[in-house]
Amino acid sequence: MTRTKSTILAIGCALSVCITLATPSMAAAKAPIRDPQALALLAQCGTAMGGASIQDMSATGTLTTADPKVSPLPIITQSKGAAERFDIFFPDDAQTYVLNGGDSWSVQQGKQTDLPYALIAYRRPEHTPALACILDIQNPNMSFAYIDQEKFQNGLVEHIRISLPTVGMTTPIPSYRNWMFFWTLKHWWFSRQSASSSTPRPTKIIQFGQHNTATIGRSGRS
Amino acid sequence: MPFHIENYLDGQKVRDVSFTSVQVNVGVPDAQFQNPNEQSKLGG
Repeated sequence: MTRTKSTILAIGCALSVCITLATPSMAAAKAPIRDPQALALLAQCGTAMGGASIQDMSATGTLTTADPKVSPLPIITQSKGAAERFDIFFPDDAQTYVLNGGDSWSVQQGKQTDLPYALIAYRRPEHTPALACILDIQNPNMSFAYIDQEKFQNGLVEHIRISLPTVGMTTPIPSYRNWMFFWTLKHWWFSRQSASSSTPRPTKIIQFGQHNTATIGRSGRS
Repeated sequence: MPFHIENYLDGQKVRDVSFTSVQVNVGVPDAQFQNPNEQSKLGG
């Protein structure tokens, strides 16, 4: 059981670790890309889902891991701005993970532990698409680039890349850096419907990386 | 609001979260995110 819990935490933190490792801190930063087309689509997405009016969020559900020996676990997720809290209820332990920038912490087996800033520096609430649309726009150091329209499942979607500009990197990128670089890319597809409908209703948002894919399912009203 | 999240690592699904209830603007208190250690430092 302990191993399973550790696995869950490790999985949860893996992406953040790689993102952080791939974020050079020494050399001068390249100017971020602020593509007007990408920003306009994100703004439209946020407006369509009432992102600006969402102050906080609370969700309850069930967490299922890849370990078949572990039964589905109750989970409560809360978010406010970029801060997130996960309460996971194991049969023998209630665990809490709070991801809140430099003030992140967890509680396991009743013991509270601070989480390193490096693990969660660029983590965002990915389960709340409206917030995902608007949160990083406020950060002047983030890049937004419009890629193209793409087919996804049965629909046309807009592909927007949200990333932290690379710093002082020269080509060719070493393979391990290249591997991690893809982790830093956040690709957001927005339903074409949200861009064209008079009553926009995004139907799906997908976060995608070459080595990690996090699918955020259907959104909102049907 | 999505009710289903799937996380994949190197093509393998590692986590699946299904929400049965999602509420917005419920007044989540800031204390939910505050570090208990920092609170005790401030208080003490």
